[in-house]
Amino acid sequence: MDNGVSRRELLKASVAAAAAATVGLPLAGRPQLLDAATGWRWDKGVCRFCGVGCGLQVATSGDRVVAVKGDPDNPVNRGLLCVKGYANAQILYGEDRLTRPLLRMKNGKFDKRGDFVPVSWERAFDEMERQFKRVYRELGPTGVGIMGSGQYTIQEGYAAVKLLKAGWRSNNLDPNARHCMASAVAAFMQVFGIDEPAGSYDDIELTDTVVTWGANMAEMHPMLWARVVDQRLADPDYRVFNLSVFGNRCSEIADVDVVIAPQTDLAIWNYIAREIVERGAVDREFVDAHCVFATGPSDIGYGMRPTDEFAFEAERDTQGQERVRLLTRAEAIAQRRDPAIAHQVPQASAAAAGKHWTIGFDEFRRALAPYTLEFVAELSKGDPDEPLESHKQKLRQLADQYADPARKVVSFWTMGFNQHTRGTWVNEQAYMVHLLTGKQARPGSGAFSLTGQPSACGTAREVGTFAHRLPADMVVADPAHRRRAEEIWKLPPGTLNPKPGSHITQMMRDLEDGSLRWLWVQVNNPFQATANANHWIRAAREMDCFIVVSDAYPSLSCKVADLILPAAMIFEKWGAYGNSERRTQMWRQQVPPPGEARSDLWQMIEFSKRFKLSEVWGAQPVPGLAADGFEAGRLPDVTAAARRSGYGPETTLYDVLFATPAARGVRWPDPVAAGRDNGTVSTAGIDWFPEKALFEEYAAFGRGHAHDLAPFDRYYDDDVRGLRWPVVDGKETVWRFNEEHDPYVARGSGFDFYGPALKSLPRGDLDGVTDPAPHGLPGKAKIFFRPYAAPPEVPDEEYDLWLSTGRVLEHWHSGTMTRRVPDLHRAVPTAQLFIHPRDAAARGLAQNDLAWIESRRGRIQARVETGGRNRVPRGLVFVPWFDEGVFINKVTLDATCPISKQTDFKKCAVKVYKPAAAGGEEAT
Amino acid sequence: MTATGRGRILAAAALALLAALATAQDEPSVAIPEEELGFAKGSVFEVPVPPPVSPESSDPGEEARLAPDYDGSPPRVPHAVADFLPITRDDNLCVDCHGITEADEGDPTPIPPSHYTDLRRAPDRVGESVAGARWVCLSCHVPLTGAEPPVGNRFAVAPTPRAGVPATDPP
Amino acid sequence: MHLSGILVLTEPARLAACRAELDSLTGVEVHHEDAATGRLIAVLETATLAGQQHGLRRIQELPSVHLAALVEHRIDALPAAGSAASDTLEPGTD
Repeated sequence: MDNGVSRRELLKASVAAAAAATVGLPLAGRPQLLDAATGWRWDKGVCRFCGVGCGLQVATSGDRVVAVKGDPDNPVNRGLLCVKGYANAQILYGEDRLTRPLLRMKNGKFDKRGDFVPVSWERAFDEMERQFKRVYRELGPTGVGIMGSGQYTIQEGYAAVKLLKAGWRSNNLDPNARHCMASAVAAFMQVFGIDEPAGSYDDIELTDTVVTWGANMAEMHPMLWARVVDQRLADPDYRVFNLSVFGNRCSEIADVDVVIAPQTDLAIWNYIAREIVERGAVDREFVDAHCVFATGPSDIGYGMRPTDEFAFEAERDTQGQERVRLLTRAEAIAQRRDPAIAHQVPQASAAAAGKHWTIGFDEFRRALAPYTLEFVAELSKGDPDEPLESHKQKLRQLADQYADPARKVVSFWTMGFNQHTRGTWVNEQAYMVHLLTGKQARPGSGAFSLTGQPSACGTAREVGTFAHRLPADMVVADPAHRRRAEEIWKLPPGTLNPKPGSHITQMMRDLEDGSLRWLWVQVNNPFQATANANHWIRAAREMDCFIVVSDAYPSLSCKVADLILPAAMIFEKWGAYGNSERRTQMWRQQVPPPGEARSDLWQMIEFSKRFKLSEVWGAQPVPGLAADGFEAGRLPDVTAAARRSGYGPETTLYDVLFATPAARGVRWPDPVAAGRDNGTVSTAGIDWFPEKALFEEYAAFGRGHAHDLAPFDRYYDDDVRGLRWPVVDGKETVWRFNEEHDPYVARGSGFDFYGPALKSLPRGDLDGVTDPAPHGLPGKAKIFFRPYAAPPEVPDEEYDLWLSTGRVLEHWHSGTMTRRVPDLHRAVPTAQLFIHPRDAAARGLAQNDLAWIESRRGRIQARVETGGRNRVPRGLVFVPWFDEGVFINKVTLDATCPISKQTDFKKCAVKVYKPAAAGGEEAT
Repeated sequence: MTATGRGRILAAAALALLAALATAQDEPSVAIPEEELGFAKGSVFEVPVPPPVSPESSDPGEEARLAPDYDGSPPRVPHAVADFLPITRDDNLCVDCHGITEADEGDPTPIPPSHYTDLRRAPDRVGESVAGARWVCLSCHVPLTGAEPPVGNRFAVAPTPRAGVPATDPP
Repeated sequence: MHLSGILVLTEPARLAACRAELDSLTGVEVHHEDAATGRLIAVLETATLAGQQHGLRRIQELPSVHLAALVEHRIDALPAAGSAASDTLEPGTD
């Protein structure tokens, strides 16, 4: 054939396809579309990266993904993608994809000091099983754990919950999403009694004002930011405010850019609330009908270890804050104490940080009194080179937006709020202001917590892959919730462990002190991602522990692992993600995984075959259980009850948890597959459809409980681009808690904050509980007062700069995928140290110089950037964390919000200096 | 199983093994030390020296267009951008130069018609100005540095209609 | 060679007629159509930009066409084929 002719035809076909896609011709809606000219097959998909959840069209040719493009029919992104989104195909094809299990061995045997040797899956699982059973026998369920992910598919997360909580009776399952949005979850539960946002992305087009608080949406949620920019350019009355500790790409579009000092968001919210109250701008009707006021203790610590036993020498002063805190002058004022005297405050409420009680409106108003414009402006001005009057003016304008009853306002936030030692508080403060003004759960108005990962909502939160949770907002500590889960899972009563497990940072601490000795890491790179990493990489390599890492690429966590398992990636398996606006989206497997890589689901299902019920369902010791009235501090032996349910002595966890009669009834092949393969099915050699069976079983938890998901097949229909739960009578819910939009709202109530959790509270005043009798609060949302509190570590003489960390547009998280896409690597090849030119000059540093960044916990080197996309104020530096060669989490502090246990990656104190020797080749 | 079938499976297995050992650069039987894994070679306890960054420094027009990675992906920016930033509500120097409909040899690459379509409000119409949702050009079109990728990527070898096709305008 | 992806809007009832009219034009091919909404995607091949504008105008002037808009445009090094729309003919002389 004449090449010119054939190429011309191909080009024309691609022009036609692109044009059709651009205008949303339903060509895009036909997932089985085969492009006759190219031979490419197109199907709908969802982006692998951030929490926005952009819709994709994925093209395959043979067994390769050859292209992706934005799905014009998807309302999230309407055909657009960011530069990372376009890399969804390339991330599958890095040359160092892991394709075989790798085990550390010497002389043919496992050896923690050995090098990695390719082994069979059989051999890999043999060692995993041997090590597991050794630890389990010695330590019981708390000695083992799984670090999961907000990038798990819904089914993978659900399988992990079942395997760990129902099978192994451990609660040590916690996702990297703990680092991402635990504070958002804690606040949703405390304020509304149910997780996840009331509103949706539709609010962007409906509102008058967008305020971003610690959310660099331009880089972290680029296609959502595109919607904000689009609306701003189209509407001259639309306003965009950006609050951040440094100028960023959002500043470039914002009408008002407010650079704030770290942690002072707490004070700014209280200033806004005070203005609303003092101006008489409270929506009394809304507040009286639907809200109560609440507060809690302030002496709650900083989520660090309670002991300095494991602290490096230089860390001891920071760690000591966990026990006793010397208040700053501003903290004293903010907490209505005498600023003239020193306040040494024992952190007595650290163990019960989430406790709270209702207060009256007068108490609430009294608490806000100190937060005058003068006090807050001086405290919160983040750029030393900005005049105070300018900053004051901006704060006033900000308050005007919220206080004006004629303006609709959406507040967005992400890690600036959530990664915060008072993260739960500052989330609650956002609701405080939105509830006070009635600007919540209405089209165009609402406080909207954006999430970082593609399924932080769908999997981590909704499925409940947290140490304290069960599916659909239930918790292990609640006997009624355990009973419900045991019923759905057909477990003998008493199987589930009531003691919350270790959160992800605590699991690292457990590795260090020897209380956790078998760990499986899935869809996650925790040894690069956890703050204060020098402790944890040492623990991984030096303690008697066995660490399994399932990953697609050799990540930093693989380097400290004992066994590496090769994992299938997104379009190499079936799956579902849930995005920030409660939209559940599914995709089909498009191509087979390479080599012997297997889906995480297959790995869990297959490994479960190695456990007989007698090995895990006998009496099991769990520290702390005795105090809860469990005989001898043990979980009960449920093997006899299991026998009565028909399980025999040879029954395995596979039979009980996964290949149940109901699951085996969900047959493969299934019409939704439309000819596509299922690697989990084919490698497991089964004739049922585990992704569908698990999804339907999981959905039973939420249906009828305000978490309703649609039937599995519905998500694969050509006319569906995900659905926002609750999906009731086939209809998605765009605004929750609002009678006009949410079928769960009691008729005639107008608004109904029906979330059931934490809705029975004692009463008190600002200082504590005065009436301990619980009072029910059905249908109410809570307006919390939370005071300003300084972070546990602030710059001083020696460590004289704030360090903030975060991401960049071009790379996803720890960079294991995006750094293998050549152009993304070329675009941002290394994590630079963003520093103010004068701060750099004062240290003898110039653009591109090598610099040391050192904290009490560790030091690393990075290249100096005095310009670029971020404009840091004097006194603060920023380093992204994607680069394992610039291992910034060796420097960061593992203090957390004591309520949510989410680490504050945004604040610690460092010094920056020039290497002594030329070239700086020295090592620590 | 046919002999050919078996051969294919063996070949696939051998390839998989090679892939597993891609970082070892040795024969398959050799074990891989942890230091060889990942981007940052060496021990996790060491502190690597990051390479200097060399941003693209050419003026617009000096360098040839960069071919997109695949048909429909956004082309990279082949020139320095620092002098043209930031993109604000009122200023967009990218659009000022590239917002042309016809281009002669040596002219900036024209912004294609798709970028004038407002996919949310009026998806059937090519508008007068660049769609607001596409205003922040750098969300999709990024300038490159001179860095060499530490790991290769096999995506490019996939057969696509673009194979061997010189750079064309983006969609 | 210029390749243009053009959205053509007609009444759903006149889709077949519209398709026939488009097929009759030199250098124009219909690639996709949506019967429900009366939309078609045509690809126009021309040697020059002037030809593209001319070709687009000719489509817009077809009796059954309500609207025709350029949504996709690519320039390729391939020379235009013999069947490409002529760039020099006056409108209506086709």
